[in-house]
Amino acid sequence: MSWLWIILALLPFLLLKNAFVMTILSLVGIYALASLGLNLIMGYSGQISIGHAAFMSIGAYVSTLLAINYNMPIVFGIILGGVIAFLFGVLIGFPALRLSGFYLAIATMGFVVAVEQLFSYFEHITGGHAGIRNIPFPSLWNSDVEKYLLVLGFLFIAYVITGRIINSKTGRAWMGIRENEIASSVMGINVAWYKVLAFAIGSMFAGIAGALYAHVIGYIAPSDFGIAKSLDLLAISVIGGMASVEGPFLGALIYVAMPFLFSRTNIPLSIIFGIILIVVVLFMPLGVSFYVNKFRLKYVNFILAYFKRSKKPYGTFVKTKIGNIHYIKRGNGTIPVVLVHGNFASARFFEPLMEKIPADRFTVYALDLPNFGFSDELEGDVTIDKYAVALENFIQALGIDNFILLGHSLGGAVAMGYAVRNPQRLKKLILVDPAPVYGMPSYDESAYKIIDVYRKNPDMIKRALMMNAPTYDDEKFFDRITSDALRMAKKAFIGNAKALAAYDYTPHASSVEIPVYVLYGDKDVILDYNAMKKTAEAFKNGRLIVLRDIGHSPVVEDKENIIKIILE
Amino acid sequence: MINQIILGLSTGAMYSLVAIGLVMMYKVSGVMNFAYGNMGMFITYIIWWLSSSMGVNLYLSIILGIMFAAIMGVSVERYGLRPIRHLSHGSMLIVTFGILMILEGLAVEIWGTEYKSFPELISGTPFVFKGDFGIVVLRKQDLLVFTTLIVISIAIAIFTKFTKFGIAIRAVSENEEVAGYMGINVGSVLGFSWAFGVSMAALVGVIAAPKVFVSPTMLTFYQIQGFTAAVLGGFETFTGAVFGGLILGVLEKIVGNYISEGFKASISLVIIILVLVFFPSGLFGRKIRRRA
Repeated sequence: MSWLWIILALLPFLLLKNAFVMTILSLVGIYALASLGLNLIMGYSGQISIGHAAFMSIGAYVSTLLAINYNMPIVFGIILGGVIAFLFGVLIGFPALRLSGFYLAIATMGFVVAVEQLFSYFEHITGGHAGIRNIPFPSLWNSDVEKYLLVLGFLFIAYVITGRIINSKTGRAWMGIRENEIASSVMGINVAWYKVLAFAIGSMFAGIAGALYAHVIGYIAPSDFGIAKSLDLLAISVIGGMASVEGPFLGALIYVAMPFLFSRTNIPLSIIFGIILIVVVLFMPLGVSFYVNKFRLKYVNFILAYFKRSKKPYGTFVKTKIGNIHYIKRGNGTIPVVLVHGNFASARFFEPLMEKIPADRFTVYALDLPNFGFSDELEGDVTIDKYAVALENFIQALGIDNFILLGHSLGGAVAMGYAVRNPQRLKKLILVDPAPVYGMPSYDESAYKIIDVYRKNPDMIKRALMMNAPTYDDEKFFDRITSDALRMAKKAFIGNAKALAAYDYTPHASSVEIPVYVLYGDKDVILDYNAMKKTAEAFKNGRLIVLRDIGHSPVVEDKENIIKIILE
Repeated sequence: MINQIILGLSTGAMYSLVAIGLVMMYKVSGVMNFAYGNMGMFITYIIWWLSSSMGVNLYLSIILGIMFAAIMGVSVERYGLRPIRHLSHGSMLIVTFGILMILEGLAVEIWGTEYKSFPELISGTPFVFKGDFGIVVLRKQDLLVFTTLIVISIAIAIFTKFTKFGIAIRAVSENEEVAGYMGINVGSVLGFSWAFGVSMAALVGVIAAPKVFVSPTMLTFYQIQGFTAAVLGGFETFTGAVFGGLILGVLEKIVGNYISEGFKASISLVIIILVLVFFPSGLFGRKIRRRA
């Protein structure tokens, strides 16, 4: 999404120097920032807060008073406002630990009412009910654009921080606490610490938003940050979508922009806004962002997928009876090795491994199975047997004999299929986290539909690939594999999954006498130990080797051990 | 001092009335009704309009208004909240928030923002008691509030303890699903709770109107204090609502009188937060351990 931020940053220079539009956009940013914080508290850690505006007012007053009385540079003032709000968040977070649900709601509501009253009461410092006017904003050339960029900068930082936290241990802990507090504490999550942390970080965002509000609008009063504003922030979060990072942005956009759409009609704003709120909650209960995301997954991302597809073959083609097959070759040794990749992968998946295989002893071939990468599409339904036949054809066409066959995942099943037909041509068979010898369990039809979503969403493919290689995180590598995976034949997305559930080589496997190595990474999330044990036992000379702390993809995660087995 | 306490009890009784309606809706449907004050406000407006512009008898218009309130409560629950009952509490909260805004907008649009006076339901010289404890003044309006509170509290107590429907209400608030299996019509109980709650809002509006005048924001403060009262007493019991309101009223009066009027709300809120820290489910709430 980085391009979106760049466009937003360039917006004032490209077309609009209109002060009004800039201020509106700044306001959208401010509310997005504040409700991003609220989203951490409510959406992720599951605590209700209807006093979020109180933290905005704390940030606003701290920053304003520092700027007016001590000439503090605005950026430092804003950050300090955030820090003070953070401390107050900790202060409120502790009593919040004892409360839940509506008691917490009331306590936070009490906080916002109390803060509003206190700021009105200390008239000599805060200007009382009348508030503070003419908050300075020393600008260099165009104050509105500068304000906008300032807001955007803070918003970007908050956005990045949020994204990082959500996907870290902390975020998982928050979501665990949200779903079930007792269960999470049993799992060793320090509930108190994480709940207070959520409150503090959420409050800090609100404090920064409040400080920005003060400098952008140039006028603050205690009543600007009352219970009504708190409820507005809550509404923004709900309309946008709880527990989503994009939600607050969409919610804030609707909240700020909607009034202008209806400004020409005579209907009062509160009626329009009330109706919007009810309609959104009744008909889009998961928030706008959920539907926007759904729309993106279904109708927008396939454009991205089209551009991300690999365009240029990187290897050589060989003509076989079942069509052209694309492969790469490395080394000029006497022992041939054939590598067969898994689902959502290609020949390139083996590149890191191939570089490490001694080139003087081995000749390594890695092919794109038909339906994958640059190889031709197969006719008819997808079955593992057809892949095995294609592999036979490929090996015949290249004249390889007496070789080592290595298959990974789906490729493992294909390699087994090859081995039960032509055991005499193999020196040994290496199965790396293969599909079990009796096939994968078959799933409900709806589960296969989900797989088809991958076809249009490169990001999801990449994430799935990376999840299956937890100890290897060369993002560029996975980008390449993803763009190859996008070249998969349309029918293969669901077809492969179904084919994996529709074979059983157990009866034939016992007749295979060559040594068979089954490698299993014990952090694999797709396969289990028992299935791998049974697979190894099905072969006469099968041996199971468990790799410690390795995921589903030892071919990239644990190349050393695989080479050791090839050399054996 | 005694006078202060009596004044406090009188405001407190109002808070209790607000809290009773809120607790009824919360207990049964699990929704914190943010539109409560504005619902009461809107119906007070209707009553005011019926009696002053249409020339309907004041008491008749109050009855009509309360009937309208019941209809409003039932329809809001049926069409605004029941469709999203299975979703988060946050969503239901937002619906009531939307209703709050719509009602406020409607009131401003139809009747404007200027304050309208509302006739006293009861007036006359206050009772004065003299004795060695000093002079105690008891206004007739206070008596009205106290009587209403006592009547309603006793009525609720009898209703929920001894009638079939009252027991059904308690069953639904305990466990909606199981109550449904037992043959209780959960929908009608939900509807009733909202009809009752909004009627209470209307009643509060009518009683408060002579003092605060009829305006779009007339019940906002009462609503907030009603919430606080309900929380103070424990959101799930009527006893808590009644005593929470009374305690809050007295507390507020004493703080306002002896410390500072400006800190009135703040200090009572701080006290409430402290109470909640030591009694997380209110002063009268039961601590229930449930399997999560």
